[in-house]
Amino acid sequence: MQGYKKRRYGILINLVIILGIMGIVNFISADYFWRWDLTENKSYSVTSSTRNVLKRLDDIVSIKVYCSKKLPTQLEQVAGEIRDTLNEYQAYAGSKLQVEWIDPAENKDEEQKVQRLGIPQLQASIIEQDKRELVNIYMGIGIFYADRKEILPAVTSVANLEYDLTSSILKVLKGKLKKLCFLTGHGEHTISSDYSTVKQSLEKNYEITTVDTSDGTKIPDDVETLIIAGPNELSDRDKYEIDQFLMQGKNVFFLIDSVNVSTEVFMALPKSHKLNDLLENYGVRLNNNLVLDWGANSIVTFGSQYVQFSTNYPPWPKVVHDHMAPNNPIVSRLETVAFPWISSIEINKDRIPDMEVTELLKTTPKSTEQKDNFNIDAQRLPRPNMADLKQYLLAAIIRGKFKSFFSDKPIPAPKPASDKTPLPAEADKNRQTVKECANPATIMVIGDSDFISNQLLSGGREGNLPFILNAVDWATMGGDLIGIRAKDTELKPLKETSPATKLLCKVLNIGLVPFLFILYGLVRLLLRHREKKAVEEVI
Amino acid sequence: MRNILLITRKEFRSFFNLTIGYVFIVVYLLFTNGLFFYTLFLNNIAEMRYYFGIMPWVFLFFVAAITMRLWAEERKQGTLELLLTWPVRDYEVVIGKYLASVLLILLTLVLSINVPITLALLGKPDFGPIIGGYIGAALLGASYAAVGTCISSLTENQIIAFLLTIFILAVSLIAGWLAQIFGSLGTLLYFLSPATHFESIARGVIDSRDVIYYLSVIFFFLFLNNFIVVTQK
Repeated sequence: MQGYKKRRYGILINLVIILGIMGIVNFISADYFWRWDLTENKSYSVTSSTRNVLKRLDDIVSIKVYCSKKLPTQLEQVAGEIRDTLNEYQAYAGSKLQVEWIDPAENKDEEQKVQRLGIPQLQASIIEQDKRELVNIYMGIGIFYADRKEILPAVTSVANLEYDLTSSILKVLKGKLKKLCFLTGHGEHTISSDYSTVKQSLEKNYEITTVDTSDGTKIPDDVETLIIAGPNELSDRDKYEIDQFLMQGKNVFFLIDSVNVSTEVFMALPKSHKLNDLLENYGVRLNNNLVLDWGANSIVTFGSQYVQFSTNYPPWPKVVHDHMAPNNPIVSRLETVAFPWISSIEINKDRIPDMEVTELLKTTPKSTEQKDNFNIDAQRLPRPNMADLKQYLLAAIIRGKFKSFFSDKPIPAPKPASDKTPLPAEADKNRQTVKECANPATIMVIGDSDFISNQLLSGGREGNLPFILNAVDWATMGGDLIGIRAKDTELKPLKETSPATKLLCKVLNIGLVPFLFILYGLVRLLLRHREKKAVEEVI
Repeated sequence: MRNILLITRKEFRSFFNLTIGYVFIVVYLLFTNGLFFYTLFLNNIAEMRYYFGIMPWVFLFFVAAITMRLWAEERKQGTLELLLTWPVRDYEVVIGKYLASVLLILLTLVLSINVPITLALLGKPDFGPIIGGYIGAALLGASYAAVGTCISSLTENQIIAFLLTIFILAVSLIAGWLAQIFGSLGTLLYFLSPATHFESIARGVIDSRDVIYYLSVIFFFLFLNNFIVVTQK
């Protein structure tokens, strides 16, 4: 008995010791930990883009997290994620990144400083001693380098944390924002109205301007990327300015509608933009057609205020991931990009043998085209002829040293504008046409400009916005940020299946395994019963 | 080691000699699959997040049901003394019984393999979070089982063991939820709740802190279980 008591006592002591050791192990492990990210896109790890930026740091960047100590639970989680992410950042940057956590409420001076930085006090409710209390908290991050700073005033979600942090680091390092320019003056989409959503997203990383080249104005030298979105007729002078801009090794995005669709009367007519010769010089043919994708398309609602109906609408092709350029960073994380009435393009590889061509987006092989006689009425779409089905190219990027369209042509004269005096022709006299790119330039060509208009972007969770943002970043920022975006667009939809398949799937999944398991149990029971009987008989 | 495996085998088999074992597993599968496939086509997304999301609560009942009899029955039928007089060490019995319950949990997880297979046929799921979810569910189940077996050794009434296990685990889950009410104690409760450690694993991120937490819980309750068994000798 004595022995048992002693043993019991011993085990009790061990129990306390073990509890203590475990407490210590868990406590220590909170600081020294590793994370193994199993997700396909490494969604919860710092991406290689960020790692490259961090490894390149050659001077100390300091990150200050202005975060209150007492936080509501959900923000506590956010703070934890911020801590984990910054730990990882530090692991890659080493001593070149300093991270400091500050609770501004602890020091009056600090609080004033924080408010001067533009980090606001947020109100949050905390439950304490059975009372819901409103407290003022801070949850901002400041990124400092030399005399420059970037502020993330209220980080209440971590969805965009890595993107925000890394782009802020890039911004303080580079100091000045790169410039992006939209062509205006020819009936293009305007960034102040129907392109305002795109503009807002682009503004985070770029300074955005517009330029009207019709009176002979040059596209400013500090612009990196020019976007031409849905123009009407462009003059030779316009084309000259675009061409010469490209020859400096810059980026031009051609989002061109070659068919005009009137949504009021549902009529489609060819549209003249006069860009064909220029584009063909760069190796791209923009067709005067409408592509109908019978394999993957959007569901569109039609009708008057009395009768409405929704239907799959082939003239609105939806590009699915399988038909995007493989391993291309612009589309690697996108599931779908949807277009409303788009024309196909073709690449003339003989014309540009040394160029790097990326066929970005294609329709499914079950697609047809309409030329000349357009019929886009959802209820009267002519059925496709099986023999006509093929795959069409919808978007492409070409990078390389282009030759100028105007290399053997005179400089076109600017069009005199009524309200502006045209630039004196003398100014052109000293101008030399650049005949070939010295540095690689990039063009992107898409036969539609409406796919990133506000109306389309408000529609759903297609990857249209991430697509254009990625493309701009890829071309302009040289790939530093490309891998980070599109984090929250990666929902993986199920394939389209018939109701019968769905029912079968439900029945089999819910019933089959339990049924087989019960069957196994019955067989086992039967066998045991027999065995028992046999044993009894022997006895 | 041999003794442990012998006991594990005996316990594992005895579970299938009772109809009730089949009932638990079948009810579990019907319930989880039913719930998941009922909403699968409404959400229309190829992921198992919803499946694993309810795991901390579903396992509560399931694990309590399979661990309740492990010790309680032996005590009730008076076979515990007999068992402990065998030429085996106490801890071998404790670990053997525990492993049997863990094996059962792993078996039920294997039996849900139809879910990822269906998703792979219907879409292109990201298998990372699915594998993470299974690892997380195994760790969660194993730590629940450690608590359940330990509680089973406290009583000779299976129903009491069942209810007490559910009660204690549910309290720890809810405490993690409501952690903020408890002020500074809340951080500790938040840390102690098995559900909060399940979140990141189920997302597809295996964090050493979560793994260490689960292993600590398992180790501690097995030790406690051993202590209880020894003191009852």
